[in-house]
Amino acid sequence: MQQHVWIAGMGAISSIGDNVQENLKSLKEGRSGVGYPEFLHTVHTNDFPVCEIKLSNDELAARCGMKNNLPRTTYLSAIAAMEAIADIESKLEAGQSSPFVSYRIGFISGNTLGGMDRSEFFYDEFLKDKSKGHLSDVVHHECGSITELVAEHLSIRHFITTISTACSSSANAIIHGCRLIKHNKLDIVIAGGADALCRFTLNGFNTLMILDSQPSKPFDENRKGLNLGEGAAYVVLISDKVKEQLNLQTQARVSGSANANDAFHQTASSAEGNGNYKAMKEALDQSGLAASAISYINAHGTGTANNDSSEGIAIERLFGETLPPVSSTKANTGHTLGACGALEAVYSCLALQHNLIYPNLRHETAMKELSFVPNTQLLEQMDVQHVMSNSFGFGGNCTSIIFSKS
Amino acid sequence: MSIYINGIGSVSAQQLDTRAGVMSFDLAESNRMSCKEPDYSGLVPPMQLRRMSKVVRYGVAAAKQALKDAGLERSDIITLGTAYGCLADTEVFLSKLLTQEESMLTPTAFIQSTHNTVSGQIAMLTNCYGHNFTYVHRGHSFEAALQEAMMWLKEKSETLTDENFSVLTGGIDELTNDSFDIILRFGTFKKEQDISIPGTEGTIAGEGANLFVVSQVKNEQSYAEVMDMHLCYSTDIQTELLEFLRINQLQAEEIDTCLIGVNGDSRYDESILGNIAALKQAQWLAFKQWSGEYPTSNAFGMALACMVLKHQQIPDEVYHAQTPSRSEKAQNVLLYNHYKNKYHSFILLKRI
Repeated sequence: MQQHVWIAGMGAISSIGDNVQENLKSLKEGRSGVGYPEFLHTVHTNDFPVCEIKLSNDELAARCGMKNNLPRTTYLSAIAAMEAIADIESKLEAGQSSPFVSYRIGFISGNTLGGMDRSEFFYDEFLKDKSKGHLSDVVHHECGSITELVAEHLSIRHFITTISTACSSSANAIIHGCRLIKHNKLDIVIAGGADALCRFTLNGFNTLMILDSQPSKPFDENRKGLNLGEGAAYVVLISDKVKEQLNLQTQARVSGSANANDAFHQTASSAEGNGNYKAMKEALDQSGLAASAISYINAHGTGTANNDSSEGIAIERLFGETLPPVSSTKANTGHTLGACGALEAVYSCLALQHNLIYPNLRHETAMKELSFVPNTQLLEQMDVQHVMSNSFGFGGNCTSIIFSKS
Repeated sequence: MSIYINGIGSVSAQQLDTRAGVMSFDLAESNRMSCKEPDYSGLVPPMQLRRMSKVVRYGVAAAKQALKDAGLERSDIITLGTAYGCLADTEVFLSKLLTQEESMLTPTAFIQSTHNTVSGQIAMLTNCYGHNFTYVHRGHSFEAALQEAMMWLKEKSETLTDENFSVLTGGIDELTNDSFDIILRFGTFKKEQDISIPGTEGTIAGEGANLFVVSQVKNEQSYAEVMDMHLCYSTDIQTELLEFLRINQLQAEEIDTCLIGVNGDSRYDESILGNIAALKQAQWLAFKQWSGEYPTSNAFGMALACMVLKHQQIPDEVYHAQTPSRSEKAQNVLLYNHYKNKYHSFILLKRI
C-alpha cells in the first residue's frame, strides 16, 4: 500500500475568488467576502452578513455549461471541479493523452444540503396543496443527486460517492479519496465538496444563536459567532503510479489524516476538545511527523464561542511549546459548511507552494482561556513544509489533514 | 484476509430474529410498508427516545441490537449509509421556516436534520470516539459504507494491528408521509390498485435500518463471510458480473444462490433478471417484496442473506417466482441489487 497520495490539481470558488488564483490573491491582500446578500432571498437580508459569490444562478450555469434551474450547489461544484481537472490537464506534455482516458477515476464530493435551495420553493407550494410544487424543483433534493449531476457533466462513471458529515464533509471526501487510491481501487480521485447559501441553513444557524450580526472574529475574546459562506473546492488526488507515468508536477502530498468523534453533543464540542485533539493527534501519528514539524495550522476557527475555545484548547494541548502559527481563513470566506474542508485544503496547498502563512482577519483581543493568539499578519518567504488543516462538524465529527511539500 | 459478519440489528417492515433464525413475513397491504418498531427498552434510554425522530430511533436501535448480537459494547469505528438522511426533521424545520416566514424558529429539528445525526447519536450513546463517516449517495449509500468498512479491516489485517477491530456499518432510510407523496408523484411507486398485479409499473415504498458488526475474526456466532463486493454505475452489468466472478476465481456454477433486488416494477424486472442470465444454475431469491424499495434496502437484503447462510433455511416466501431450482440450502450467495437500474452492486457472501 502506498504511503502518500499526491495532489496534482486544484479548483476553488468562494466569495473571495472565482478560481484558485483569485482566492490566493484575496488571501494575500487580506480581503474578506463578507457583506449583505444579493442573491439569497431571505427576510434576514439586513440582519446577518454572509460571504456570497456575486454571480446569479444563470451566470454560474453559463460558466460551467450546465442547464438552468439546477440547485446552486451543482454549479459551484461543477465550476471548481472543472478548474481542478483543467489544472492537471495543463501539466501534461504535448501529445500526452488525457489521464481521463486511461485511468480509473473517481469523483467524491461532500455537501450538507443537496438541492435544498430549490426544495424550499417546492415545499412552499406543496405545503398548501400536495399535488402542487414543480417536481423539477425537488428532483435534486438529495445530496447524492448533486454529485451525480456533476459526475455526469464531467463524464466520470468509474466511481462516484457523496459524504455528508456536516462541516467536515469535504475534508472527509479527501480522506476517502486517499484511502481508495492507497487500496489501489482508483488511480485518480477528484475529491472535495460544495455548498451554496440557502434559507434553511441561515435560519438553522440563527436558531442556534451562533450567527454574528457583524463580520466574524475567529479566535477573538469578543467573537459573537460565524458568518455563513458558500463555495466549492476540489483537489485532484493521484497515485504514485500516475505521478510517475505522467511525470506530473504536484502541488503537495497528503501525508496524514484522521477522523474522530467527540461523542459529546449533537452540535457542541466538548470543552476540552477531545474529538478535535484525537483527530489532530492521529493525523500527526499517521504522518510520522513530530508536532514541532508542523509549519502552520489552518484552523477550523468558525468564530463561535464554543468551537474556537475547544479547538484552541485542543491545539494547545497537542502542540504545547512547539505551537506553529495558527489562523482561520473563515474571516475571509465565511463558513462554507460542506465546502470548507476542501477550500481550506486548497489554501493549505497554496501555503506550501508559495511559502505563505495567512493572517487571521479582525483579531483584536486574546482569548482568556488560550495562551496563544492567532497569526494576524501575512507572513511571506516562510519555510512552510507541513500544514495541518482542521474541519469539525455537527454530530461530533472531527477531521484533521496534514498536507506536505511534494 | 477474511471479513465476517458477527452481529446484525434489523429494523424493517418484517420482524426478523436473525440470531434465532425466525422469519415471519407480512405482505404489503398498500403501496407503502412501514417498519415494525422494535421494543426499545434496554436499547435506548426512554428520555432520549422521546426526543428522537423515527429514523434516529430506528438507527440507534439497530446499532444497539447489532452490537449486542456481536457481544460488544461499541465498535471501533462507524460507517453508515443514508440516501435521504433525516427527512422528518428536515420537513418540520422547512415547513416552519416557510409558514412562519423565517421567524420564531426553534433549533431542535434543524439540529437533528443533519445527515450524520444517526451516526453521531450512535457514537454518543456508545462512547465510540473513532472514525465516523456517513455516505449519502443514493442507491450506493449503504454499499459505499460497507466498502469502506472492508478497506479498514484490510488495513488492520495488513499492518497486523488490532485483530479484534470491528466496524459498525449499514444502511438507514426513513419514509415520511411527505416523501411518500412526492416520490409517488414521480411514478416510482405502484398505484394502490396495482399492488398485487404482476407486470405493473412501480414498486412498493419502504424504509428500514439494517446494521452489521464486521470484523476479521470469526466466532461461533458469525453469520457469514463477506468475500468481496463491487459497485457499478450505469454500465454493462452482465460483463461486470462475469469480471467480478473471474476476479474472485469463481465459475458461475459455483454461485448456488442469487438474492436479487428486483422490486416488482415492470420497467426494470426483466432487464435485472437478464443481467444474471449467467447464474441459471443458481436458485433465485428476492427480498424487496418484504422490505419495500428504498435507496438502502440492500442492507435488508444482506441481513436476509446472512440468515439464509447461518441457518440454512430458505422459506418459500423468499424464492423468486422464476427461480430455476430450489435447494433450500446455500453456500455462496451473490446479493445483486439495483436502484432505479442505475446503481448496481454485487456482494458475495459465503457460508462459514
